Amino acid sequence: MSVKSWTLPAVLFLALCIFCPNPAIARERDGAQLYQQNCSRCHSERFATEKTDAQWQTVMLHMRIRGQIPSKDADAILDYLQQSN
Amino acid sequence: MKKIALFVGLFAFSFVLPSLAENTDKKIQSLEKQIQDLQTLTQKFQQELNALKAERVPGAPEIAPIGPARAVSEEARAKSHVLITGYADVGFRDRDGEDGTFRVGHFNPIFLYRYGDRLLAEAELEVELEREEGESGETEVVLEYLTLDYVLHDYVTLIAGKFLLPVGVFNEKIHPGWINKLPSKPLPYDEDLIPETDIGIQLRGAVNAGEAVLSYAVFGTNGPTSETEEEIGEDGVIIREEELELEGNFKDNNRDKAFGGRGAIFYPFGTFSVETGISGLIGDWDDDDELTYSAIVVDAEIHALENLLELRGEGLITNVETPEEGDIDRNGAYVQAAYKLAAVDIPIVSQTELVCRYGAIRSDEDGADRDQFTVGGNYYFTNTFLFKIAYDFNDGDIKENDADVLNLQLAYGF
Repeated sequence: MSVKSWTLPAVLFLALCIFCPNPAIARERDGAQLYQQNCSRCHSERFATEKTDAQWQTVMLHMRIRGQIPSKDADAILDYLQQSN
Repeated sequence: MKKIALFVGLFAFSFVLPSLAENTDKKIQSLEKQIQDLQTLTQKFQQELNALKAERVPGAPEIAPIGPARAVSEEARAKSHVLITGYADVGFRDRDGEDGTFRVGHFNPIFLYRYGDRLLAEAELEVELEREEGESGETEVVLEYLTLDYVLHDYVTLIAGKFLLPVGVFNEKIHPGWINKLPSKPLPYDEDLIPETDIGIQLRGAVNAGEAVLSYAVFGTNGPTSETEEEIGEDGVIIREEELELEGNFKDNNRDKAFGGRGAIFYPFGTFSVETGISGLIGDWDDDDELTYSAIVVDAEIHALENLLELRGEGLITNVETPEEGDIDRNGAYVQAAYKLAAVDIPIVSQTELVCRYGAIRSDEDGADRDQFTVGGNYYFTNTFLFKIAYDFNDGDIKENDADVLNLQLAYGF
């Protein structure tokens, strides 16, 4: 098959990648929203880049307990912070 | 014959070929236009994303670039981890009738030892200089809390040790210098209407209920204790008086334990969110298990305008049974409003926050009634390092509670 006959399928595949929902991206936005909703109620936002993955894991366990954040919400916030640092 | 057929076929095909080529060209042009349109659209999205980033409210979390999720680091996969965090503050206070004084406020390191996803040992020390009248100014180190926390279940965490009591909100969640929006505590907490910490055991957790979050905490602790004051009466007889001591009950003075807890509901309404809770504590405080201390606290907070506006308040009702004076009620309340000027597009102003607070104490004890109105402003150098200036307008029955106070503070959460 020639290069030209691959062009349309390749373009369509690219369009699918851009416009179709990506579960990883959707979960990341939920983590950011939950972060805004839960964390900034008590204190100023801590930037994701302030800490490493392991530090965020420890901080989030502490904050999940102290801040009484539901476990799924805490997992989503941790995931967002670790992906964003 | 075959050659003629071949020639005719080729001749006929020569008429078809251009139209085939033309169709292919048209298809190629169409595909090229589609690619161009997609490129234009992608550029537009990138420009909008850059514009959103530029408009980001100072202090808002950074949005991660769109891309595949990355694996967590090797360090994060390790079972155990140690972290030291905490906060510190220094300040200046000028009370009417006194000399203004620079103060070393607090240094509070917090030690977090995590094992896996369920076990956390945490401790906070409070290091401060003695600064009450008559004290020597020596360094004092207090164990603010020390707990072993274990996540039993998604909805239940066990906490054992010395912990900040989940009665009211300020002591447990708001008191650190970099979180409290004013240099001073709200009046009911400054007057110690309820205990800050106790030693015991606690279960706590939270659960999603649709968009809402329901949270709870229940505990059993040693409870308040008594302090015996001795004085010599007119006839030379030593008079001993037992007085309530809300903290310091590291050795329970009676068989009774104190019990209490807090329940709260949080609901996000889109443009604003609300949390409201009720909490309480009851326990005997004297050596003979006959006199009871009880407290009920109602709290509420509202966050609006993308968390730029915060309104919070708490109402405290406490009762102490005493041997000589019967029941003594000591009640208090405060309301506080804070507004960050981050939406104002002027340097320095956009990092400023305005705060005001009203607090009151009403007590059966003579001379204990107080009112306090505080106005202040904060400047955020960074998200966790801020300068606070505030003025307390005090109105009290006794002179000591009537003096106005200017407070300046630098606070840092690390």
